[in-house]
Amino acid sequence: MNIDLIRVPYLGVNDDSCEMVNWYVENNDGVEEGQVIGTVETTKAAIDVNSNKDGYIYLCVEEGAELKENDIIAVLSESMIDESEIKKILDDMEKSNKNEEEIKVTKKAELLAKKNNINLKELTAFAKGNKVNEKTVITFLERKNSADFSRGFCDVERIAIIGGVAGGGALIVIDSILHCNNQQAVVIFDQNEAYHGKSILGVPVAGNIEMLDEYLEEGKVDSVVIAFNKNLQERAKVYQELTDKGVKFTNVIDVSSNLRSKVVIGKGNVILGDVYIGACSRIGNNNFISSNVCLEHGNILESHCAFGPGVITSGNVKINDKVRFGTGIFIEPNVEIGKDSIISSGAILRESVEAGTVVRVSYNQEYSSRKQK
Amino acid sequence: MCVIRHTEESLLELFSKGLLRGTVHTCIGQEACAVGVISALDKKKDILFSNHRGHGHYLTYSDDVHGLIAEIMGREEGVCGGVGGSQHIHKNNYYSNGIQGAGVPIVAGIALAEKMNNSDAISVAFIGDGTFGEGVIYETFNISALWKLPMLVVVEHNQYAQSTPSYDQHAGVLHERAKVFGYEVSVVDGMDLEEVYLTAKRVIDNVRKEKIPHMLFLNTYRFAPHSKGDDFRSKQEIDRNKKRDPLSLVRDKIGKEIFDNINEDALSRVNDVVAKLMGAKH
Amino acid sequence: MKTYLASLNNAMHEIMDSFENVVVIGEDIRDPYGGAFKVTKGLSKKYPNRVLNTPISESSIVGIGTGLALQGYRPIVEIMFGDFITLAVDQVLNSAAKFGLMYGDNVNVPLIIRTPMGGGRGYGPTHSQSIEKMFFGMPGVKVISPSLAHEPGGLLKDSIINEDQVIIFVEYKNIYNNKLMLEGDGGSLHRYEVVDDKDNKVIYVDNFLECKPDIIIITYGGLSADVLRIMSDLVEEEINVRAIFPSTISEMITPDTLMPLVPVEHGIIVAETGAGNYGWGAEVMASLFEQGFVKDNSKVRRLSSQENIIPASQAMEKEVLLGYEDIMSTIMELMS
Ligand SMILES: Cc1ncc(C[n+]2csc(CCOP(=O)(O)OP(=O)(O)O)c2C)c(N)n1
Ligand SMILES: [Mg+2]
Repeated sequence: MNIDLIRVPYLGVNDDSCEMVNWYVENNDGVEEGQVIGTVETTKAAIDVNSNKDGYIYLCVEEGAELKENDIIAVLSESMIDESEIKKILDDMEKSNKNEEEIKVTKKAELLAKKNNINLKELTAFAKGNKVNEKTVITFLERKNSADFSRGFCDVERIAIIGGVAGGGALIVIDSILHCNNQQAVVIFDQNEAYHGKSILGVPVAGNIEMLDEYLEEGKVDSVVIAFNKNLQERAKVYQELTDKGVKFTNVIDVSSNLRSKVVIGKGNVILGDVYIGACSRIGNNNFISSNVCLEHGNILESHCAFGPGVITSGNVKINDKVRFGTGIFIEPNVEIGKDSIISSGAILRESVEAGTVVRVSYNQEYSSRKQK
Repeated sequence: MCVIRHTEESLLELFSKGLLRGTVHTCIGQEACAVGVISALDKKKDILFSNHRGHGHYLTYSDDVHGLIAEIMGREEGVCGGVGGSQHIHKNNYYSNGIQGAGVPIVAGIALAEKMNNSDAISVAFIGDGTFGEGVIYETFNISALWKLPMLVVVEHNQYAQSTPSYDQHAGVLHERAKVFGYEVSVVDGMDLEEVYLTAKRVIDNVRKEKIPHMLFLNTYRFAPHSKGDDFRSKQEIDRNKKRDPLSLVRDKIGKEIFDNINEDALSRVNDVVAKLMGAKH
Repeated sequence: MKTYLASLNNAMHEIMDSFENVVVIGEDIRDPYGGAFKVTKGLSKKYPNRVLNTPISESSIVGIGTGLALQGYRPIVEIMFGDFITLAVDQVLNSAAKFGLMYGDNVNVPLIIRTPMGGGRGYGPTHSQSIEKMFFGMPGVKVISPSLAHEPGGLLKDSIINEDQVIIFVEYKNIYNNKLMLEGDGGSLHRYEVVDDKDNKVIYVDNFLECKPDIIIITYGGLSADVLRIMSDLVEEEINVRAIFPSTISEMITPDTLMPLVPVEHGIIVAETGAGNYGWGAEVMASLFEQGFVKDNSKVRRLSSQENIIPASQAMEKEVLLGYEDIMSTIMELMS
C-alpha cells in the first residue's frame, strides 16, 4: 500500500500558523496530481493545498482547525482504503517517526559523559538499547570506578626526582616514597652523565633535567621533588624556574614522621624518617629535612633549607630562607636564624644569628686508640 | 509613473505570497504627486526628505527599481543593505524615515545649512494629511517662515491617516494652517500630473530665488490599503476615486498607443527585476 | 485558545464594562480597525463615547490622558508603536510623573500608557526597538511588562484597580498571537506565582519537579516565548531550567522573590530584548551580587540584543535580536 501524507505548506515569512478554511474534496474522492484540494488561511494570505500525486484522499482535519506549518492534514493513498484504517496508519507512522527521532542520549548525559571522559559508545552499550540519561551515566561511573578500583586500576602520584644521586639524597627520597601508599618515584634526572642509565632502588636515572619537559608532555610524570641538598642557591633556582613554568612540586613525607596538630606545609618539601614537627609549626617550600630532625612547636621554617640528621630545635624558632644545617645541632627557644646562613654540625645556638652567618664550632676532640699497648 | 505602479503592485503580490514581511505602504493612486514634484527639482543639489509612503518618491528620484525591491526583500543588494526596509531609505540627497513629522524640522535644518552656504539648493519635506497632528511641524512652520528658509513642504492629502479619515481628526481647513505663519500655500489637484508638475516648477523656482518656505498642497487618494493590511473604506468610495486614476489621466493626454508602449516597458522592467531577485533567492 | 492579544483585548472589555470612568484614547483604535495590533477591537462599538481616535499626536495623547486623570477619569492611552513614545516622554517625565510627587501628595495621576515594543516582525528601525529602559529609574513611573506565563489582561486590570501612578504597560508585539502558558500549553512545565511586597507579580516556571534547577533564567516580556520553548525542548534532555518572569520591570526584584534562586547548580542567565548596555539586565545583575545570591561570576551570564538598531531584513533582524539559539547555547556553555 502506497501512502503519502499531505501537510500544511510553507506559510511565508510572516506566519507559522493558519486555519483550515476550505476542503474541496471528501474522503474517498479520487484526486489528480497538482489538483487544489483545500485552502488554508493565515492572517495575511490564503494558500492552496495541492495533491502531490494521483490517488484517493482521506482528510485528517476539519474545516476551521487551527494548524501549524507542516502539520498533517490529509492522507493520500494509491488505492482506496477503509476510512477506519486512517487512524491506524497515522499512529503507525507517528510511532515509527518517534522511534527514529527518539533521543538516544540526553543532553545532560552527554555533557556529564564528556566531563568524565566517558566514550558515548561505551555508554550506549552499557544502557543496552535504553535511552542514556543522567542516571545511566552516574551508575556507569559508580560501577566503573568501583570495578576498576577493586582491580587496582587507580592512579598514584608519579614523581620525578631531581638530582641528589652522588650525595645519596635521591636514594633516601626514593626510599621514603617506596614506603608510601599513593606515591611512586618513576624517574631521576641528574646532571652527572656517569649515572645515566643506572637505577636506584629500581628507579632509572634517565638523563639531564632538560628531559623533564618531555616526560611532562607525554603525561608520564605528575610532579617533581628536588633531592640534592648541598647547593641551596641552586636548589632555590631550580624550584623557582620550574614553578614559573607551571611544573607541580609535591611533598615527600615519610610514613614514620610525626606531624603534630595544625602543622602547615607548603610544596616541594622532603620530610624523612622519624622527623617530628611540633604543633602549629609552619613550613614553607622546597626544604630538605633529614631523619630524626625535631622541630618543636611554633617553629617557622621558610623555604629552601636543608637539615642533616638529628637537628633539634626548641619552641618558636624561626629559620629564614636557604639555611644549611649540619648534623646534630641544638637550638634554644625563640632563636631566629637569618637567611643564607650555615650552621655546622654539633653547634648549640642560644641566640639569634644574622643573615649570612657561618656558625663554626671549635672543639677539641681527641681520637685515641683504646687498643692495649 | 508606470514603473512606480508596477513596482508597488508586485510588492503587494510578493507580500501576499508571504515573500515579504514588515510594512509596505504603497502610493498606488498618488504617483502623480511624486513624479510631478520631484521631476521639477534639481536632483543634483536639492535635498529630499520623504516619509513612510516613499517608494514613489524614491523611484522618481533614483529610478533604482532593483535597489528598492531588494531593500524591501531584505537583501544585501538593497539600497540600504536591507537594514532600512520600506520606510528607511537613503541615497545621495534622498532620505526617508518612519516617524511622522520628524523630517520637517530636519528639512528646515538642511535649508538653513544651504542658505548659510549661499547655495541655491532647496530642501523638500513630504508629509501626509495625518501628519498635521504632530506639533513639531507647527514649530517648524514658525521658525522656517521667520528665518526665511528655502524649503518646500509637500503635503499629499489622501484624506486618510491609516484608518482614520481626515475629517475625523482635523479641525478647520488643513491648507489654511501654514498660511498664518506666513507660508504661501498652493493647492493643486494631485491626480493631474501636468498640473502638479507645472505648479511645482513655478513654486520651486520661486523658493530657490526668493529663499522663502512654501507649501505645495496636493489633493490625492490612495487606491490600496494603508499598508498591506485591512482596508475599511467602502468599495464605492475607492471605485469613485479610481475613475481619476492619475495613470489614465496621463494616458488620455498622451494617447493610448504611446502610453501602452511606456507601460509595457515599465512592466517588463519591473518583472525582470523581480524575476532576477527571485531567482537569486538564497 | 487564549493568546496574549486575546487576553489583553478581553481585559480591555472587562475594564470598560466595570469601570465607567475608564476612557481609552489613541491613534486608529476605533472599530472596525480596532488599533494597529487589535488590542482595542470591539471597544468603540460598545462604548462609542469613551473610545476616542486621536490625530497623530503622541504628546497630546499623553497630555490629555494626564488631564483626564487629574479630573478623576482612569485613562488608558495607546501609543501605536513603542518607538513613538519618545514623542511623549516630556509629558510623562515632566508632568504626569511629577504631579504625583511634587504637589505634596495631594494629586494622583493614575494614567496607563500601553505600547508594544520589540522586533521580530520586519518593521524596521523606527518600529521595532525596545526602549522601555528610558523609563527605568524615572520617579513616579512604573513599567509593567507581561510575559506569556502571566495573564496579561490580569496585569492590566490590576493596574486599573491598584495603581494610582503613571504606568508604562509594555506589550511585546512578537508574542501577540502566541498562546498563553496558562492555557494548558504548559505541557511538562510547572508554573508558580509569587507576589512581592511591591505588587510585582513574579512567575516561576520549572521544567522539572522535585529537583534542583541546573540553570535559572531571569527575563521578561517577549523573550518568554523563546525561553518557554527552550524549557520544553530541554525536558527530554534532562536539563532543569527555572525561568523567572517579573511583571514590574522598573523595580528591583526583592530578596523574597529571589529566594528560589539559591540552590542553582550550573548558572544564572539574565536576558533582555533591548540593547544591553546600562539596561535592565545590568540592574538585575547588580542586585544579584549585592544581595549575595551570586558569588562566583563565572556562573552568571548577561544576554541582550546587540548594541544596534533593529534592521528590517529577516536575517539581519534575527542576528541583532537575542533569541532561542543564543540562550540555548549559553545554557550549554554553562552546563559544560
Ligand atoms: C510618530 C508616529 N506616529 C504614528 C505613526 C504610525 N503611522 C504610520 S503612517 C500613519 C498615518 C499617516 O497618515 P498621513 O500622514 O496622512 O500619511 P498617509 O499614510 O496617508 O500617506 C501613522 C499613524 C508613525 N509612523 N509615526
Ligand atoms: Mg493621509
